[in-house]
Amino acid sequence: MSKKAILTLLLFIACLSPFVGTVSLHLNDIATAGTLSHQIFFELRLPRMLLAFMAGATLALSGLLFQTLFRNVLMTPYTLGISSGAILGAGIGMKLGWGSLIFGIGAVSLFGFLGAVLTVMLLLYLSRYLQHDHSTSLLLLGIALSFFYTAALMILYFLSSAMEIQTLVRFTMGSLSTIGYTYPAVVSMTTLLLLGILHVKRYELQLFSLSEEQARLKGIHTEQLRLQLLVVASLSIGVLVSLTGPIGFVGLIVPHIVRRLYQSNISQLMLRTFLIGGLFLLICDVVARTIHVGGNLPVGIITALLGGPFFIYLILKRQQ
Amino acid sequence: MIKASRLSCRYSERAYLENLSFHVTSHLSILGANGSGKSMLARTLCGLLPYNGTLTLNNQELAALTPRTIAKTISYIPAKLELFDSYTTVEAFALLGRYPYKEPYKEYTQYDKEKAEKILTELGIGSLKKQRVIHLSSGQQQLLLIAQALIQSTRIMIFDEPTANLDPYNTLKFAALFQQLQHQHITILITHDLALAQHLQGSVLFIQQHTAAFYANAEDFFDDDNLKHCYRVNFHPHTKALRYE
Repeated sequence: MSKKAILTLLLFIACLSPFVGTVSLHLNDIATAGTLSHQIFFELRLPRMLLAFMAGATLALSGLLFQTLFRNVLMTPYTLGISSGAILGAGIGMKLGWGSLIFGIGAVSLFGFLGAVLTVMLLLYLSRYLQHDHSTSLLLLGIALSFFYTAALMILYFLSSAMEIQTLVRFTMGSLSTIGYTYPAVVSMTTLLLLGILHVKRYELQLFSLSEEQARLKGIHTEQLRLQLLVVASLSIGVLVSLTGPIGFVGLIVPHIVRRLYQSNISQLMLRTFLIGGLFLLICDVVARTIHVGGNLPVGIITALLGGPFFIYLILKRQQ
Repeated sequence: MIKASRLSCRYSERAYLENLSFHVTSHLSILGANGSGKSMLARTLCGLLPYNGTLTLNNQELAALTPRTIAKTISYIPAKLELFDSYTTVEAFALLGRYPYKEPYKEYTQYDKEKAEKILTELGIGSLKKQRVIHLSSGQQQLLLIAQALIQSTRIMIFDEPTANLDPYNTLKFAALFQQLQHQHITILITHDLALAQHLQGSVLFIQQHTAAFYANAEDFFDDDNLKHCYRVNFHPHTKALRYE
């Protein structure tokens, strides 16, 4: 199948997506304000579609960024422990039970955001102690942090009531359900910021993909640029994870698919990764909403079900 | 021109160099045992590592120069080509040599592209420009690295063990190319290949026990007694090949 055909098919499914769901909409009513169909379409389905697209784009772009910056195909927000950091943060926020809102933001979300951002900062701090070519060690650090966070989360579970645990488990599964346009608007802003900076810095990233040393030798202030990129990436991941919970494997799979599909070097891939990442999660979400097992499946389950086998395939492929 | 005086640099507890003084105006070969700090010195000269003492590039202190200014003056050719992005083509790789001259936020210019193509053709790898870098042989990758450095058009070129991965035929070809480069560039060569270093003449800096154990012109260094003294092994007097005995 050609690239255009794939993209057209994805776009076609994407356009259909707001019409799919547990409640079937009356097409004639959608345009009429005040009807149930109109309300569901504009207040639930469209915002969800936008959120899914932007979430997928953020995850895919940050995956591409981490993989390029550290020259390791296994680097994603997930494997680096950033998502686990967000979960733990959210768990602590919930356990502290500081009302529901701080400055209009849910305490769970706020702590989730802090968990993600603090993890990135911790990784950056620790990576200063690593040797010159440190991508594998950094990955190991991320994994070690993940385990640590998971253990800490277990303690939280242990101390929590059944209802609190349920809230936490819900958050852990990741969900794209949203009402109205607040979440999609916030996530869109950070996603476009991320896309913008990656596009502007695309040639710098191409040099980073050779080696950090090469980037420096060609005149880049590598430390400064890396910090800049990581701050923007962790901001957008932090915001996203705090609103939707962690959604795994998009950041791992999509950059690979895009690379294989277009076979061009990294500087040409930013917009494509944005587009395909967005469409990928959007379609996973359609699948999740279509499968009805006593309520909708969280989208994180679909991406992980697709991502798990792909991860295994990837590792085996690299062995050859 | 590079000038170092009482230069010290440190990479870790064990890897450090002290009190080096030398200057490079045409060609310098840096020799020494494994782990003696040759590559560390080269990386210091490129501004990658901090140092103490004085190190000037065209009479300006290196530490005060921006990475971009250094990149317009010094190019560094590593021993081996590293690449994460396996879809990089030869022409895309070569074009990266123009990065120091690229206006921020803008594309590479037509001039950049023509310059890259011209040098690839001059080095005889112009026909490979659409190929992926990972599909090239070691010899071709070496040429591509040199091409990228030439496209960077710097006065000074630093080669880090360029012949370590080359077969004898490509080593000879490299030596011929290197001699051509010497006409227009100040060259620094890190190598274990004594025959090559002797062939290229210029000065020699021999590093031992964290400092310059020998610094003079090549003729004096390749004196049989001195060589034996430095390396503690025997060489064939003419070929400088190692004697297995």
